[in-house]
Amino acid sequence: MTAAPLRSIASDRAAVLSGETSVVAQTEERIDQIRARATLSPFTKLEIAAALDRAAQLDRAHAEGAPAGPLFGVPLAHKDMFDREGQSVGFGAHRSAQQARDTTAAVLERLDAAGQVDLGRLAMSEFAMGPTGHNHHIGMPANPLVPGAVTGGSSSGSGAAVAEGLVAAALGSDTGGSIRLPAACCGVVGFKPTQGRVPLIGAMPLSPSQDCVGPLASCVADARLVLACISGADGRDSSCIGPALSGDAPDPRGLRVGFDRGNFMSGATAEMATLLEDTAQALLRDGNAVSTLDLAFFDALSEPANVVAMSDAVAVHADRLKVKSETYGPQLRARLAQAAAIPAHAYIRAQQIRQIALTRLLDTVFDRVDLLVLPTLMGPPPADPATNVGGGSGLNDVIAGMTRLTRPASFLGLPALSLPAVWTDAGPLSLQIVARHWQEAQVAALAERLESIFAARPQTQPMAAAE
Amino acid sequence: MTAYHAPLAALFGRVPSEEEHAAAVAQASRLDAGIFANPLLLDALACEDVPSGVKVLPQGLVDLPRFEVPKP
Repeated sequence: MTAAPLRSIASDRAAVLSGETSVVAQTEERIDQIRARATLSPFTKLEIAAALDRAAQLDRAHAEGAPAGPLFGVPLAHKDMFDREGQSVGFGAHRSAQQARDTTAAVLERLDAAGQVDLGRLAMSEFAMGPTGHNHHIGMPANPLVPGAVTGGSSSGSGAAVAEGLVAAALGSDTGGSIRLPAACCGVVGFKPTQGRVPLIGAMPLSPSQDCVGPLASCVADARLVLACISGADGRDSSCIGPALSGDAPDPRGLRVGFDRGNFMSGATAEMATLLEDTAQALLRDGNAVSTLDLAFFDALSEPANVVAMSDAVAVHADRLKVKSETYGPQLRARLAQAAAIPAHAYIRAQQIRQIALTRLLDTVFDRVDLLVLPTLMGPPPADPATNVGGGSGLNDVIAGMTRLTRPASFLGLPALSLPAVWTDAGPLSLQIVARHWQEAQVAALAERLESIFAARPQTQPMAAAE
Repeated sequence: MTAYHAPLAALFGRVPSEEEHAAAVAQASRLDAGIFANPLLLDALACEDVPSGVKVLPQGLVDLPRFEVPKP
């Protein structure tokens, strides 16, 4: 298993600011690279004309001496669920769901203000529901790192595009793991923020009390930078109450770190168990206080999280489902059908269990540690055929299995980052760093420290060009 | 016919498929252990978890907390 060279925001930005290339030339080069992809591209739509217009605008501004934002001239692309004025958005769904938009999502506005060149839209699971990345309508992008493995979902194209070196970063969304899972499967960084840190205006809803928007990127620094650009309260979104991510960078050696050594980790592969042990030892050598904790109570959150998510999702889709059910894929129809068996008091009880769990977490875990280190997946990315179950009887097992380690942070609103750490023949093994609310700076600090400890990923041949 | 055919028909605007119906039945089977007899809930009720706001009122009524993300 090997990998294409990754892009970085710093190098893309420096190339244009130094005069080595222009924004237009860099954008054209990146578009050519994307178009040369043979099949199973992570892109659903390349907005070539808009990207080149934007690139020319940035070149003119630079020539006139305008200040350059932190993403100046950097080609990015984003999950196909964010509104952009004058463009259509597809949601990974049947073509009848495509809609032209007359406004732009808050997160895209902020990335534009920072200087990005938006290349277009990236593949996703249908309506952002699907942790494997399979999609009945548009297929699943190829996993650039592990042929035959899933890309992970639902931000499948975001993970694949970064992993293949097409863009330095891409936005995704995360409701039960949909940033972290494709990051883990594709061997890149995925950063889910605290619930309420990033505005959701113009982003397709799934489960509003759990939905988060965040970046996938080639490195922790880039993920942190993109998150800083998109974060902060927006007067139009009352759910976004958090401040923008600050430049604070706490010393990671002063952070107290917790590992689970109990039943929550049952099912981890031997290699993952070794990685966790090695990580704990490395942190101890660095001077961190390391504890072991019993996180078995996280397993009790799986069903409440599913009840809330599916009930919310049906509320979002009810009108469309009634008249266009035939346009939904079989897996999504089966998942939405679950809501017919969820009475209102079960939903309310699930929300109450959520608060009980949060109190227990704050009182018995985050009183002892600042951060948790868990896996994102129990082992390497799963194989495509084994998890492509459609709407059949194995559906709940596949979903619960893939999201077992990511759902708790989503359900409790916590920030969490997935970091590739070890490269095996079966694919990357990724660590997940979780903190209490609003402590993204601690998450990023520890993640950068661990990133420096683990080996760089191996290089490979380029993907096959189109004939 | 089960109790889920009618709500599924209302949801989808048509007779549900076997897969859709099976998914609803499977979901219903998870509610007891996953929600109403959830171990976190039972533990909190057993000890009346004051920090999380769980209270058992007279006549066995239960007052349970609302979920809120802590403010920054």
